[in-house]
Amino acid sequence: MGFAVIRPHATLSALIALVAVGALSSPAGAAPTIPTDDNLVLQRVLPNADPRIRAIRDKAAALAQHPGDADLALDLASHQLSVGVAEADPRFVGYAQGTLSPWWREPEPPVPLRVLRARILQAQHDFAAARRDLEAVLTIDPNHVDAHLVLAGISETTGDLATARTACDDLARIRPTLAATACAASVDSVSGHAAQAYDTLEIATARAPSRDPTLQCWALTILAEIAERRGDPAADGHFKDALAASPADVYTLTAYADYLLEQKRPGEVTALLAGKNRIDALLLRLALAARDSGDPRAAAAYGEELAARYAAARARGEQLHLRDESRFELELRHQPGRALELAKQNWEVQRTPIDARTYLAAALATKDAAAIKLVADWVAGTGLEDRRLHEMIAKATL
Amino acid sequence: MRTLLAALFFFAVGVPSACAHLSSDSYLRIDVGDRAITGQWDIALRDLDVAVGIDADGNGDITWGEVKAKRREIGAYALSHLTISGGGGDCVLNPTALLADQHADGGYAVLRFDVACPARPTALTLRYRLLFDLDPTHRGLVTVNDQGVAHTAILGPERPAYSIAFGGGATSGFFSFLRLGIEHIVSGRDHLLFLAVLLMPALGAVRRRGIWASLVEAGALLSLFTAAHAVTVTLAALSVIEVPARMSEAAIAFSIAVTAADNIRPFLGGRRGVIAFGFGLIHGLGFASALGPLALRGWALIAALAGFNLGIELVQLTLALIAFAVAFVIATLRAPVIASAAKQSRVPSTDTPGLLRRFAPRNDGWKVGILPLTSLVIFGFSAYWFVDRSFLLVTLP
Repeated sequence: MGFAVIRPHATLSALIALVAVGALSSPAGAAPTIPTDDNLVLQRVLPNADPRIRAIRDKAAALAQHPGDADLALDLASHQLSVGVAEADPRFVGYAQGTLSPWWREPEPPVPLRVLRARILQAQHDFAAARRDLEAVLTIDPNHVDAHLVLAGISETTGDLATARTACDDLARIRPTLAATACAASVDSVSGHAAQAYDTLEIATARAPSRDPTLQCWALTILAEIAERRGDPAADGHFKDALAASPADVYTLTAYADYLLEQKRPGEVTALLAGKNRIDALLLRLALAARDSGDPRAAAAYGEELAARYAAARARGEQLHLRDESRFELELRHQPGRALELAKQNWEVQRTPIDARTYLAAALATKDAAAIKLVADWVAGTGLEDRRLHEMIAKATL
Repeated sequence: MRTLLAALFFFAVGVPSACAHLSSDSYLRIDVGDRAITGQWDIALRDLDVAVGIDADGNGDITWGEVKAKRREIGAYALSHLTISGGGGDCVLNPTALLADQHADGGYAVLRFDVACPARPTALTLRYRLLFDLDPTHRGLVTVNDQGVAHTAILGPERPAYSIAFGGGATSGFFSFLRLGIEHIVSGRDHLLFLAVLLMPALGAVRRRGIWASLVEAGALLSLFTAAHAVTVTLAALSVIEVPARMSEAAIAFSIAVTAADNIRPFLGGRRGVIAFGFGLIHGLGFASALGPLALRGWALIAALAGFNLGIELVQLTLALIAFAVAFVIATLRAPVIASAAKQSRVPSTDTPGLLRRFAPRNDGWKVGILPLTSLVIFGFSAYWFVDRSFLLVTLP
């Protein structure tokens, strides 16, 4: 009599997910074998020699000795999250959540745990829940630097520029460092003050470079992106400087690859991203570069690999890929209708200039007047200076 | 600060694909064949490395040799995080082979195993708990292949269990659900006990009112009961209603107690038909919890529901007929004796056997003795169950 009573899924996405599970787990999709060679490498993981892995192992052992110790859990979880972010690997984000599981459902965990929980939620794109935690933390401790910084990042990503700017101002008031300057410049550059933001940030990065390579790389990438949007060729140098500070940074690599693709320099993308195809965002750029450099076979192989990864994510009901998947459907699969659908869903979650470009590209391909108008109105409303976007809008209204 | 900046950096301004690597999934497939049930479980080597440690030399390369060396640990770890029950208990999971495969996000260990259940199951319940302690975002993507019909589910910490009742095509579905209905009622002492107390008065009246009148009464009560539980079983199978098993079980105990009480001291009068129907609705909820929501459609669904209800009805009718046959035999065996005793009693005689006198129908011995006594015992049991189950209802979360 103890059978679990389960309701059938009502939502369409769940249905699609279930169909995908069926497709993935069908015998046709899998061909398990018994390898004949014992030395065959089946999977690469981070080696023990990696100091981050050693640190995580040591800290996990310490926590196992004192389960429930909030300080040890906080330490371990923040290390796991930072590997998850640096490697763009959601498994480590999941481990961080697992480490915080005693506090995960608590309505009001201690402040440090709550900030970390917000960052994990942010990494999982649960922006609303992350924002609730951060706002609660800031009512308890209005001078919490990290809470302001993360709140600014989430607000800018979701298009809430007013909140983002306030958070940057608070940051500048509490601790006026390069982080605060870059925070404000990033928001200003997408709300009608690009030139001024660029000048301020260029001076700050040149005169007072941070000794923290991550921070320096972040600031220089913002600078490069402002230049790129304004059509300023200085962008190239800024991207290179940013990568000099932090060569493996996934965000900067992605942004620079997009810039190079835009500049019709696909060969440089292939060289830049060689051996980095395990990261989905970079694999998409490799596929686009292969297509642009006249290598349709490589492009098709990358494309199939990408399709499999997107399908696997969809099978578990995950929607973290929407923008890249839209671009994949539009540029590699030539499915503008599907691309527009994905871009629309993505727009509900995040609204940055790149999201706007993706949405507009799909809208133009499908000649969807309502979607074109929506993006054009948004650009006009924010005062965003983005040469590429304005060109696209002009083309649409011709 | 540094890690935080990395986080901000990565997710602000325009997030590149946040899910660069993929999240952790496993692919669990259960194949239900004519003779055996087998399983195949694809678990990412990355996850197994975290859980049981596979990269023995720690060089970052997981080789087939390293996987083979840990085959026992892999099998033990995986199978201790999955419970499959069916056929009246938990099934034993025996690993049979370990293979390797590649999925979208890398190398997987493929564990094949046999599922040995106590009896041939007509339904399976999977309870999944792999990796949830380490990574709450892990998901188990489950497919149960039942004679070519695939049922799928995504299991996670919020929803770790999945139940499925089998039924392939409409015809085979009809018979497998017929069997499920039969099995369920045969093993369901609650339902049988209720039917017993419900039919007892009619059984006792065989001699007085004749076998046919009693049979008609019993048949009417059984049909009302079946019609009612068919309604609730159907609604529950379509997920229109959903009642926790504990609640329906308490209500079933209550129904037995009430009916037994009526046998001892009738207070329902002619409304036993209403009782049969009303409590049939409640018992249907109990049947439904055995059936679970059905992942079937159209004719397959109709056939499954018809089969299940008919299976229950078949057992009920068979048992009722047997009971009536016994009652009829007793009544006819007794009748000549009683008749002769009555004849003799007209002629005063001192040598009327005392034994026969005791069976004499001056007062119906069934009505004053056996019926109330048996009903009292059953009343006691069911009242205890009711209190017990209601108490559980309050104390369990």
